Amino acid sequence: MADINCPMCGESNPPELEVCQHCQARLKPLVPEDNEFPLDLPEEELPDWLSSLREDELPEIQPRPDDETLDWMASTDAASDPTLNQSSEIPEDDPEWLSNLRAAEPEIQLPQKDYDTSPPISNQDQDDPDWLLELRQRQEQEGGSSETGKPAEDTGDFMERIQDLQDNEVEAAGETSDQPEEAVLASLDAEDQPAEPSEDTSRDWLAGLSDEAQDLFQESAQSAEESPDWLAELGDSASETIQEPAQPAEESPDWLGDLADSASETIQEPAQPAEESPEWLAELGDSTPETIQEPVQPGYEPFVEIQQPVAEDSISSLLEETPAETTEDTPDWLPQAESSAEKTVLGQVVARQEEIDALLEDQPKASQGVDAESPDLPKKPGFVDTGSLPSWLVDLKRSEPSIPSVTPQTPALVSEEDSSKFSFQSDETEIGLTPAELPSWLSEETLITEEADELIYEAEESEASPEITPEIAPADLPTWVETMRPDVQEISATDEDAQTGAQETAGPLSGLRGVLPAEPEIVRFTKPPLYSIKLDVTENQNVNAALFEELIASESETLTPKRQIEALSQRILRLAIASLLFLSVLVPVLTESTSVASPSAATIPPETQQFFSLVNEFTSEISVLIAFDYQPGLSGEMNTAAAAVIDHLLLKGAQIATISTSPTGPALAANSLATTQPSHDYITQKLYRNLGFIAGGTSALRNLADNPREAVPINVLEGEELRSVWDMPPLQEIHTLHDFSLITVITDDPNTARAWIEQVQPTLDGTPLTLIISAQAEPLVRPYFETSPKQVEGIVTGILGAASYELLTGRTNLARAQWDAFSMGLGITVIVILAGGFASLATSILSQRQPKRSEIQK
Amino acid sequence: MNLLDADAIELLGSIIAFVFTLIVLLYAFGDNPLFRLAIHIFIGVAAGYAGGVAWHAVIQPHLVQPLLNLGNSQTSFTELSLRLLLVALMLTKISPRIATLGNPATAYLVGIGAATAIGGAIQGTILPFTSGSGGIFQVEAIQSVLSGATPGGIVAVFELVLVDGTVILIGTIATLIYFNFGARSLPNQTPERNRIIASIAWLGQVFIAITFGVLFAGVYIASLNAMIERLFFLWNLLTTFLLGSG
Repeated sequence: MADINCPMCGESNPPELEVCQHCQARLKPLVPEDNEFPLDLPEEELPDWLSSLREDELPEIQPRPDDETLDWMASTDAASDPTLNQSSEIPEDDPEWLSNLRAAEPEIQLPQKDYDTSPPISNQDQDDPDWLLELRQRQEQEGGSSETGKPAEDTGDFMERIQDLQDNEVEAAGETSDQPEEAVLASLDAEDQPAEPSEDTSRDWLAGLSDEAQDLFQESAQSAEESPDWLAELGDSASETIQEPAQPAEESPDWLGDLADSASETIQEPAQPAEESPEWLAELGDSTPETIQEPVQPGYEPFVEIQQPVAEDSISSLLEETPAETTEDTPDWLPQAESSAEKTVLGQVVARQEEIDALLEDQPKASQGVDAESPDLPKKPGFVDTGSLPSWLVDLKRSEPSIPSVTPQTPALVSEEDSSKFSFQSDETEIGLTPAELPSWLSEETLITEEADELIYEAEESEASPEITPEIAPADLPTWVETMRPDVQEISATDEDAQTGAQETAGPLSGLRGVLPAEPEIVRFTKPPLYSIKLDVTENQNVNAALFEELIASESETLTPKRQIEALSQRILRLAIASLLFLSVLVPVLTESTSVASPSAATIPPETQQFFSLVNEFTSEISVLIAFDYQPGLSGEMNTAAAAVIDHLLLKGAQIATISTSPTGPALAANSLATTQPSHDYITQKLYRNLGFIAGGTSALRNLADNPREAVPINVLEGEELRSVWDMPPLQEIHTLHDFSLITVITDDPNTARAWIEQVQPTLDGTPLTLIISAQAEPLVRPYFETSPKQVEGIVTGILGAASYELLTGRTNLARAQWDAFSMGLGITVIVILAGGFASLATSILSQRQPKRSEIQK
Repeated sequence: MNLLDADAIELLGSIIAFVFTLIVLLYAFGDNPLFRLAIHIFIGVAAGYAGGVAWHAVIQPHLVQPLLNLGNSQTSFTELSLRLLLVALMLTKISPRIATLGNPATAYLVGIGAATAIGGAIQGTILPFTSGSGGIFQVEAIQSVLSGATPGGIVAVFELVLVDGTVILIGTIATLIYFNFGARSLPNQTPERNRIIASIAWLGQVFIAITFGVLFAGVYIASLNAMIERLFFLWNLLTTFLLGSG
């Protein structure tokens, strides 16, 4: 089964598909069963575009089964086209539109098959009318013509087939004719043939009118890509169709030859024997010899009188008279197309006659006859002295310019047989369709054709009886001619649309411009428009973008190398300073140097002086409560600071009780006394009392101040008896804290010192409270010594206080041993701090000057 | 040498102290696992020692002994019951579900501690400092100088009045004004301090900077003393073992 070409993209598709597999266009249009369009109309009654479509699709479209086609169509189908014989293979589910199209296709082929094929006729004799059978039989008898066996699809150009047929006819006539000059004259008169009211010719040019328009559309569609201006193409194609009928004289049919003979005889009558002309022409010649043989007057212009009415007048009359007479029933496209074709065709009439003149000049005999007898006569073939013509012919030429206007495009050079064929074509059309099936405009056109036939019949009668010359008034022009007259304004508008509109690339309208789209724009699948992705960026925006990019790039850059350099330098500096300080401390320690002078008496702090005075004032055994409230990390400083004081107390015979508000305090107390006072038996014999740890912070101190025995309920094993510490010396007499002779707090924390001052000192009731503190606690504790009355009677601060205290006691201890290291380390520290301060100052000054220099340079 | 001997224990402790001292000193070259190990050991030993001390110095004498010697203890049964109740409530803090039961004990401790601290601060710091500020000019000392009882003449009077008293007065006022951040807001302008207040506050800022410098110096001196003491410890230990001197 043949594939179906997509009407949109032209690609072939399997027949069972309803949509194109390439472009998804619908292959089978949604046409209702009762199709409004008479697709099975004969070719003459169909639109040209549809006729061309049928011709194009003939090899591919299969006809409807015989039972669904018309009888006479079936007969022609089966015989004419081998491809159509395969119609039996058509599936029953064939779409309706395709069946209609198949049914209509043979009708299009009918005119061709009539010339080409005869065998099918025998198959359908009983269904065909008699005249058709006769025609076919006569065609068979003529047989042997080359067109008989020619496939229908090979004869695509209808005009070419007609031309071939005419050639055959002319050749046949040429063999029997001994007067070629008559043929030349026949061709000469062929231009004026439509003016002759002949039935055959009238039908012939009528058929040729639509055929030409059809051919024009076909050619324009085929050459759409090569020539975008379809109007130019249309004009060219029309000129070609016009050129085709412009056959040489020997190709003209007999009837035209007769007519030409009559005309030539009127011109060449003196040279022509009278017996060679027809009788009516002979009579006519006899009646008008003088007018022709009269010498031509000087101002006489025969073309003005004859040629212009024939050509130019007919064109102008066509262009001016027809627009208002366009019938409403006629489709818009038909008069436009045909009128455009006529316009272009008529525009070639003058040129065509000139070409015919050239042909006449080339004909030796004709030219000899004309030139010899009347050298002054005009060479235009259309030149005929009106006086030599019958009056009806003159009147017809002048009164019916529209009929001759279409003459050049009609393949009018046919014989009577051919004309009968053409008449058969017309008759067949009428046979194939009933008036009820025809659209109104076509029905009207049919009527017009009948009117034209009547006119032709009258012309023939007038030809037979020259005396009767019924004049056809201009108002009596056939209405069908008026309906087919092109509308100039409409043509121009159509031309504009055709030139500016989109060109169809596929489908039946391929090559045409300005036509309505076959499908809405929304269902067309086209490539999406490509938009440029290149940004239109200004120069300023580029600069800003570059700056922004640099900013981002700088953010993403790592400054690790620079930081490493700085860290390395700082680390080196730190190591250098640390090494310097370490060495400054280590060297005195390793050398056990005592070269650095101890603090002088003038530099002894007053709190240390007062502390010493206070202790030094004790003359009897005293009980001293020493609180070891410092952290183990600062035990070195605190032990050094407390060593001189405890030593002094022990020298004074003080009985010591230790206590601590820190859990590590009791251990530190034992360790401190053991390590710093190894020379005192009181310590080595552990005669002092370690009250241990009292929990509760400030509250415990307050409780201790109020009721020391309850705050520290410690029992110690003395011998085999467990006794309370408060029952053992030196605590036997101690009931409250003010029972102690002296309370000394060794602490590195100013808060601890303040807690002792705030919670215990107010309850001491005259018992002095002294502090041995770290150097870091002195700034915050010293105000308690500055108050008046003094809350703290004496303070020993760090190594400096201990060294001063040792200086006061005159006994060297840990403070003096560490004094050199302390002095060296402290001195180096001061130097490093000063050096660092100066370096920082210099750096800041230089950094401030550099911007100024850079500003000055700028 | 007997390991249980006091000298042997002291020597072993000295060796351990020597090693740990070196490990801690290695921190000068950066953090290292040995330093972390030493820190962990110190914290663990301190916590264990604190627990032992708490038992030995708090729980045992204040709770266990009274309970064991309920009839012979000076502590009454009511007081002992109240202690037990507070301890029980404090133990409820172990479980989150009944931790709220320990709030009364905590409130009691915090309340007592805060009251004690506030009372001590008022009585031991604020009132003495307020009363003592009147003597910053040392009127008695000045009278003594002026009467000729104390040598020094006008220079001593100038020093006592202008240097000590004035510096203390100006320093105290300037430091207090520095912490006054009030400023007058003007329309369309940023709020600014009064120029007089701003200048006095700048002076107070100087005193505060000096104070912090002194505190830092004290911290540095304390650290320097600690290092010196450790170096002496190491050296003494080394000389004891290497040279046999002691």
